[in-house]
Amino acid sequence: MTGLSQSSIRRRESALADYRRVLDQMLAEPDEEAALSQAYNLGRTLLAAGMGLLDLLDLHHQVLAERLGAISPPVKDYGGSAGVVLTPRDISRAAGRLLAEAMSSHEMLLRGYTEANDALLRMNERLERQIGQIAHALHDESGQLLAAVFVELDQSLKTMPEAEQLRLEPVRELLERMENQLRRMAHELRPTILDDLGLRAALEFLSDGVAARNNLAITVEGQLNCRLPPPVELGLYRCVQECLNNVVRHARARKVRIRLLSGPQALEIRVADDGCGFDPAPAIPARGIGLVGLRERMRVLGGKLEIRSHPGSGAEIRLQLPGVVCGGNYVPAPAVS
Amino acid sequence: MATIEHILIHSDRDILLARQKGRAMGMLAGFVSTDLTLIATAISELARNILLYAREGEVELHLIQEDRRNGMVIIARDQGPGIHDVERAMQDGFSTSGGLGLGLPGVKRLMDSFELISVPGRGTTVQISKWLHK
Repeated sequence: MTGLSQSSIRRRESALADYRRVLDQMLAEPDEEAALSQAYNLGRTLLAAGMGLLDLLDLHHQVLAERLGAISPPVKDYGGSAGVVLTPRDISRAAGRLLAEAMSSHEMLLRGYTEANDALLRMNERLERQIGQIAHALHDESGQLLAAVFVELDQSLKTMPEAEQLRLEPVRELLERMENQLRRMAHELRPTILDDLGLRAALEFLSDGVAARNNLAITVEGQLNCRLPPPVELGLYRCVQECLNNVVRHARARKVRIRLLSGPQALEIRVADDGCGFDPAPAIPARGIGLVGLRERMRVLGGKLEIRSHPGSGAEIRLQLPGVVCGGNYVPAPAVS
Repeated sequence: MATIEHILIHSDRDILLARQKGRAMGMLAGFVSTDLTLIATAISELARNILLYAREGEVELHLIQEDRRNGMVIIARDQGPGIHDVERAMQDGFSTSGGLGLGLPGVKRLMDSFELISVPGRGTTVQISKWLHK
């Protein structure tokens, strides 16, 4: 019982008294619905007051044990006929029905969270499909148009005097650079390298592109000793991508360091920059929706997000995924609220 | 056991009666005990809303059968002030449970169907149903 505050002990005591009263009523009265209804209301009230499911179970076990221990003399007449002795089985059955009733509010809560989680997963899938379509449009469709431009250009060049041809040479070079950029962006959006070579290689590819476009120095360090399921690798890739987007948009940084750390039972990716930093304390920090989205993404993966930053001294985002056992199986931690 | 029950809701005592009749009807339909708990929970939440917002109203229970499948329809009706913003009332966090998703959104999740009609100044009707899953 150490570590419990006086007020939480008092709260538990009063909940215990309520639970005892409801169980005794259930055992004593022929009108069970009254007790069941009270059990429901008690469960609802305790839930609203912040009592967790395990605490409720604990309460239940304690009251049940008390009543089973105090079995004789017979508690009271039951079912309207005099002299009926309550057996442990009667008591257990009544207590079980009562518990189900008291937990019914938790069932509503659980279904709500499951629903929200499913919606997030579906939204994620839809986003991935849209990203795929954009990547396709960049890579294939724009690529084909550019190829057609090259053919036209070559044919026009053939009919031109040499001096004119030389003048158009920079145009060809610019077009080639554009083609490379488009291909690169398409690969960053839909990293096939992730499937083929894994997270570290994909993050290096991503970092090279972001660094070149934004005049940043980005290093990738560390190694994962294992492959994770594709949706998890893609999820982590998207998170780092979002971190880098944030850095580019807000941080005014010069250097970014990405570190992959895999411990025996957890995996962590740290993205640190030397930019202007921010105050992570407000509910929605200055970096806004990006971080909220990041947190949600990690939650869906069964992980969490830690932010370390002060105004003026850079920022570090830690993407933590517990439940990962490298070299073995990936055991997803349950999504938490 | 009738296949239709009307319970007028004026007090907590009536909520009890509605729960009891709902449970009995559910048992007759063949629902298992966990489903009976959920049915009683839904009735509690709807009747509680009636007392809280309209002070009085009624709960109607129907035992139904469709395609040889048993089910229950529960209708909660009141002539209270009505709900001005139904969409908001169905969001977690708007209800009196302080964002826990009990109340109307909670009831919706426990049932197979959920319909809400509310006219401000005229009252609210909620119709829910649950089918026996074979």
